[in-house]
Amino acid sequence: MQKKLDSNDYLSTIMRYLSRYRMLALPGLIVMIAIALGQLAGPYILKQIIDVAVPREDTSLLLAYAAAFLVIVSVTGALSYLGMILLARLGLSIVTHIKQDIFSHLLKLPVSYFDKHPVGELMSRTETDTERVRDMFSTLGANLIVNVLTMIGIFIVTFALMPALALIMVGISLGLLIILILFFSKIFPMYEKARSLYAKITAKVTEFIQGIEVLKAYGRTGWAEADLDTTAKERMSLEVRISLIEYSMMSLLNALIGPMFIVVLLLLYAPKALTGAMTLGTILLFVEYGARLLRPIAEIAESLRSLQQARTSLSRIRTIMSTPEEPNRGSGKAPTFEREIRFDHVWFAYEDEDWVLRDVSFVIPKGSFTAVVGASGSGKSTIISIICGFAFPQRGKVLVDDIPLDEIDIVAWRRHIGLVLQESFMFPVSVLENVRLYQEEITEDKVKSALSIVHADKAVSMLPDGLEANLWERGSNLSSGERQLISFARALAADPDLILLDEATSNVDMTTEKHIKESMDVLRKGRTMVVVAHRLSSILKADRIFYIDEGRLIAEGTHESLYEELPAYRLLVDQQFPAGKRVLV
Amino acid sequence: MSQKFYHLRWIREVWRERQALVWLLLFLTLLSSAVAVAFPLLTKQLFDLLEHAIDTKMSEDAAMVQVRRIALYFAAIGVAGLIAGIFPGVRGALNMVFDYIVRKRYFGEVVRKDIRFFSKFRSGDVITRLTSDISDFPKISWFLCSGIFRAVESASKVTFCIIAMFSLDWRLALASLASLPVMLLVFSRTQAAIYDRVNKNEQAISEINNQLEMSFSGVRVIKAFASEEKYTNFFKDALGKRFNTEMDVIKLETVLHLIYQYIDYVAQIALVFVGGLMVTKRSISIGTFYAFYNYLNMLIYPVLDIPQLFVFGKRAFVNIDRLEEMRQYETGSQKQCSELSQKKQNPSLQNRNSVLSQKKNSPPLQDQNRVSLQKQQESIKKNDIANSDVFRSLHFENVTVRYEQRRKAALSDISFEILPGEKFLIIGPVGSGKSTLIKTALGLLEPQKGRVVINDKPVRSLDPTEIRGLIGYVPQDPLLFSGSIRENILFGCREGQILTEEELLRIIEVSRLTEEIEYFSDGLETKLGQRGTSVSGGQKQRIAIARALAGYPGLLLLDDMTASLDTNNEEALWHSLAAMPEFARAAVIAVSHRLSSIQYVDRVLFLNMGRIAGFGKHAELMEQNAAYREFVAEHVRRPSK
Repeated sequence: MQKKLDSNDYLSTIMRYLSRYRMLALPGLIVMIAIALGQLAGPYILKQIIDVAVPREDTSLLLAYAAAFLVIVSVTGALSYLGMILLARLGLSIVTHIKQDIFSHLLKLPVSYFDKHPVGELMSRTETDTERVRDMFSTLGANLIVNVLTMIGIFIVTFALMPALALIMVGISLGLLIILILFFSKIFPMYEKARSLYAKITAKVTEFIQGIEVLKAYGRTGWAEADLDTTAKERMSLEVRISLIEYSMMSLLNALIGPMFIVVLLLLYAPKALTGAMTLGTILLFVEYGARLLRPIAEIAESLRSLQQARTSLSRIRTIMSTPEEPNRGSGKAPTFEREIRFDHVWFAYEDEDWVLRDVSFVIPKGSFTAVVGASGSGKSTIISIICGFAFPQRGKVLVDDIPLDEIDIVAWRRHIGLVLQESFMFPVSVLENVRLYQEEITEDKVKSALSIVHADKAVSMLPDGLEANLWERGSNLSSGERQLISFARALAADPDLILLDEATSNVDMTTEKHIKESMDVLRKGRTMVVVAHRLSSILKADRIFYIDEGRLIAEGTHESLYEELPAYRLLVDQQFPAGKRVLV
Repeated sequence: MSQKFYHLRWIREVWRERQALVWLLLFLTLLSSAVAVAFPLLTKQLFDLLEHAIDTKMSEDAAMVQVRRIALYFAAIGVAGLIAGIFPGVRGALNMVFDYIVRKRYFGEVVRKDIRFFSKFRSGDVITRLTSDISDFPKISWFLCSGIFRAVESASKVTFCIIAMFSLDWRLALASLASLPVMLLVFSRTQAAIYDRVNKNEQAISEINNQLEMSFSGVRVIKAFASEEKYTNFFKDALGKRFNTEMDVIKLETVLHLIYQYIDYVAQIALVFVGGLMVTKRSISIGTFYAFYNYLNMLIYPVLDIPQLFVFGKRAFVNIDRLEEMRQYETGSQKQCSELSQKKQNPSLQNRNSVLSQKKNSPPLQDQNRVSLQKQQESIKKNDIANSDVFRSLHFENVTVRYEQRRKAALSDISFEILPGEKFLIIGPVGSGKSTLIKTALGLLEPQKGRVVINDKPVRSLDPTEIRGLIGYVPQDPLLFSGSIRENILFGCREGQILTEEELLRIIEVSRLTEEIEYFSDGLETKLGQRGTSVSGGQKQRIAIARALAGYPGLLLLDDMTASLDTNNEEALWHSLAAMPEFARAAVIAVSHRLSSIQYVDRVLFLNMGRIAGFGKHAELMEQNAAYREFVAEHVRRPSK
């Protein structure tokens, strides 16, 4: 199913999407040509009225011209509507397509990719960058085409009537275009800078408002104001400069193209009009065309610049699309989990040689309950990531029933797993979908019973719509304990063979604590369970305990045996679980 | 005072800050309208002249003299236009100046609020009001200048145009303007219809953003439960929905756009019919006909613009109200405090006779605080560190604090005193008022009853420079600022204090940060708050501890260290504090969930439901206080981490 983007020029990417929607693209183009012609026709009819109808004092001819004007306006109007809708649909179809492609591709990328790229960045790739690309297909492209056609039309008409003037026009237009392109290439970086300064201001306001307590407690509100002021001043002076430069330029061009063009026109052609070598209407036509020259040129220059940005966006999109997926998605051996998971001299580092796990070997037999303990940062959670196939060891092997994990179809393997993360992640959707994650195979009843088994039913029934209630972002309308319970229900509803649980460290009230303990017992029943333990009760109930220190598996055994034999373990338990001592006494 | 009047006064108030520029802008705007309107008149003259010259067979030389004269006028108008044409630039520039002024003013107001303000206004909301409410198009800053002056521009253009048209030929003027009201109506109707669809589409867009956010943030869960495909399909549905809403908007927008684009043609067609007939019958000249053609072109957009500006104006007024709502929100004995802040720490509000600030003639900035993090070491001010900054006592006298919209007081009738060298631990169930007590001690909250006194002065009357170095505070949330770790630690220094490298390293050691800092590739210069640097929550909290220690404060307030330090590190911290001569006389109030902390403190303050349920030595309380005994027993039974 994977879509590979060839690494040719970005044009090929555009053409590929365009050709898929050529039924929209071609008529759109034709309509654009019609619009450009329509725009030129207005002034031409004026000319005809003045040169033909007026001298002959022919009212019926005049009415005919007026009617023609009406027809042209209505037809171009209707065509414009059609064309704009076609192009909008084209752009929208393409962008929707691209978004789908990116999103589905992103979800197939390895977890490490998401560690390196913040959510905000990924969102802006799928939203902002694609929207820019869309402009390229619709408004931007259309404007460029219409403007270029309009210019060409003006030149053709002028050339036919007054070749010399046409040459002047071409000269002026090219000059203007170059000036404008240079101008935009100067001013766009300033826009960027201004935008980033505004982002900085927003960031500072955010930071200071959120940190207001500290600012006040340390008597530093004045500093915060001054700090914000520095950035705000910088932005203000830049924006003021941009605004003045921009409009001085526009004003200059307006004056050059409008009045000055007319002055040149008069000095050159008024004698001809006076001698009758040229009609009054023709003069009028060029006054009109002259006044209309600037806009298309300015727009062309601006579109070229925006195209450049769209191109950058497109290349970012292509980078994402060419990032390889996780290995063995839907391919590889079918997993079985009958006997055991084995770590065989596993070494793992997130970066270079910065080993998080060093030469770790152990066996987790099916049906066992294993607790992993150790100081924070000792590599406990990494073990769980590796079992999930979120990360693959650099050295050594992970084997499931003697088949190396990196040869197994990873998606199929994960169906065996129920994962409960340390920070119970809640989606801002209904409780129902939070538990079953859109797997319709899991019925509502099953969700309900899972919730009641973990004692989360009460909390859910307190929400306004119960099971259908939407959770807030990060589940903030639930307590942290309730969130933990719901993530237990999530694991329970999926009914996996293997439960991986990274215990939360947050404080919960005693009732919830009791519920969590009971739920863990239910979850454990008839399943294999690996727990990164932060609760003494989990440790006490475990069949075996792995004690990890700085990435090494120092010892394994029961709580009693480790407490007897391993002073480091004893210290850890006494410190982290002060009640532990008493339990043993 | 009517509502509208009030807004206008508000605007005038801001304008006063740049009065000369506003006048200049008004002049340029009117000049540009005049130039724009003069242009078709000149064109008319030109064509009339040419027509006349041809008809009367004037000699070419004589005619060209006239033509050159007109060409000169065109050039003059071009120059005038060149000058006047800058006015949109001035308009844009003034927008930015006002943007700056307004934000500065209201940011200054907000940072002076009691923090109860932030229980009324969520911080996200405050940020929106201070950023996009001010800066986004078409909100306050845009409206303050561009909005109003566009209206001036439009109105003057329309007036000038209509005057010119009627003076040229009133019959043709009537005929060509007849369709205007109808077009205006159609336009505004369509525009109203579009809001509804835009709203729907915005919902669809935010739905998509939600989906993206949750899918990327929860990618581990999605993957672990092998639900990628479900999510992809789900996203596809959302995209499909958006496709439809977006097309709806586009269709209507296109109609609007076309009306906008072709609206001048409607009037022009009328002109071509009526005016054309008049020209052929020689009742008007070609020049007049063409002038009308131009005026209609020029007239239509300003006419459409004006009602639009009223809509924008209404929205900007709402945003102004939102800013004023924050300013006028008063907490506790806010008044006295804000007067104080005007006197002592008010660098930004220099507005003369401002209706916005209650106090007139606040003195110009004399800003001791304007020392950036980096520079603070350089600015040595040997002021009276010696006397005012020495902590002598903190006294709670029958303090009651309540939050708005909550019936029960967060703290009721709290009284105690802490002297230099004493160490207190506050314990109590969740919601018993522990953090509120710390915040009240800091002066972040103003008690409704009773008072908090530091060194015989009410804490709320201390000004920022007095507080600096007196108190070290570690909040529950670390709340660091972007900048390097070093800058964040030095943030806690008192005014003019220079922390030697040695001292800094000591503090880092005491805060249990040494190893971490060695681990970071940039060490102390590691930037926080930027992507790429992963500083864990615990590390951030320890940086916050170092920050609290950097000023060698006489009073340390530690709001919950349980999360930032494990038992080991907490023990080490207490021991080093006791061992450092700088902290020998420091008073410490700590909140902890870990009862093992009890061994390091002199007394325990046991809070329950906002009241002191026990206060004294741990052993005594265990003996005499049943509730305390029970609480401790529960916590010991319960395997806290």
